[in-house]
Amino acid sequence: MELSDLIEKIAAGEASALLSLYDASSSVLFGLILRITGDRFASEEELVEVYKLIESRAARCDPKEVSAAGWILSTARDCAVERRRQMRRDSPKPDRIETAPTPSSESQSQSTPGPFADARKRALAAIESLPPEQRVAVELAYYAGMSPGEIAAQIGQPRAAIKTRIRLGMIKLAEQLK
Amino acid sequence: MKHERSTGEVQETAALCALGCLSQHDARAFKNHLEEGCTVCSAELRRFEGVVGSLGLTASDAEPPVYLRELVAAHVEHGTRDAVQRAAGEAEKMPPKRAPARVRSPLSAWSRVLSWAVALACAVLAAYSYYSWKQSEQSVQDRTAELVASRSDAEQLSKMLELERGRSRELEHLNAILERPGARVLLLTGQEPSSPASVAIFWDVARRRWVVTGRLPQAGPGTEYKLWYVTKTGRYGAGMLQQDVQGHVFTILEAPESGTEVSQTVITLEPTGGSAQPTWPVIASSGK
Repeated sequence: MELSDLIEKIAAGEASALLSLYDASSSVLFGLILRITGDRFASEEELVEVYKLIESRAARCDPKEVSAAGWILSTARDCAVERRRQMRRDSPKPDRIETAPTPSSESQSQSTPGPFADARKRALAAIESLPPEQRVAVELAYYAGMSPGEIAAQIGQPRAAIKTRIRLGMIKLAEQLK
Repeated sequence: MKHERSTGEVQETAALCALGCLSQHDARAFKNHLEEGCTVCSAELRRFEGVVGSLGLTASDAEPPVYLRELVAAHVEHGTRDAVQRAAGEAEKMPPKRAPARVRSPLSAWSRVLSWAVALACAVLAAYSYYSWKQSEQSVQDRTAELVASRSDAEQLSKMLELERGRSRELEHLNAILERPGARVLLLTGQEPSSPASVAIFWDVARRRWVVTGRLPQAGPGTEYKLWYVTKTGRYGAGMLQQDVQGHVFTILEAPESGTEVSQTVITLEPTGGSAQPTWPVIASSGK
């Protein structure tokens, strides 16, 4: 069943569809949350919260505006970034630079759950095509939820340069993912 | 002011907004601008939101532990039971439809019995649902408590392991010193009979190192232990001692030059940062 159908069923109050969505997407969402928080225990707690949030907000997912996969990934990302910020507030320490090697499109396409396989292939190809400085800026903003000012302080570059890198990187990604 | 065409600034703001990286002030201003109906900015934001939706796929998959699926399944089960419970509750609240008192046909009497039976069945179902829900709730709470306890145990074990690794590294240092020719050991004991202070200095003569290890009473706030040594020519500070939260001391210091005759070693409590001469009480010393 398509992810959008599952979201629609969840929005209609069919609770068991949430479990089907979990089976179809949990490894993708858990991998994303784990990379953002960097903490396994926190990620486990957050994953359950994400599915509860998806259930409560399913009616807001408009397939005309955004893909179902994109919507659940954004929901998970927002929760995980918020958790990461909370963890940093509770225990302040220097932020890690989130430039963990991104899996290559070939290596990931085989293990990725069906509904995400094609989209992942394209996303990996797109991010791999970015110049390194744009990729670092976009990844720090996405995975660490850092503002341009924070990124500038982290990598020792002017804030204006970081904003430009993010803009150019996002434009290029948008063109590749069109 | 609505934009007529996309500019670098528009793209920059939209990209940062999609990534959730605008400051609260800028995000509010951009939202207000969108509400004014700027189609250029709305289109840019939608474009970049699509990118943000896809970026999550660049992280590697990770298989979550099995118990998380059980938690989601328990949540789903609660949702279903709650729905049944709500339905049952609503059925109970509905006022019974009374037949006109004057005409009582056998059919209306049967309907009345039937409605009471349905109400009774709903009540039983609601009670059973509530009981099952409580049971599941308890089960989830038990699992959560077990999880918390397991984490606490894991953290404790991790700390113990780190402690043991530290001790193991210390022993390696000491063994290495004792295997070298000319190695010496100086023992320092507490000044009072009941004092728990007991410290040994392993003197690596060849490499001019003192490895100081042992146990001292926990130094109070704003104080640290300092090691001194006495020779024929005077009294010298060897260095500050590092102490862990359990009172264990392990510090590597530069030893006096080879041939120096150390007549006594003394440990005193000093203000943090140390002092040029001993100022506070002697806690432990080696015999003269």
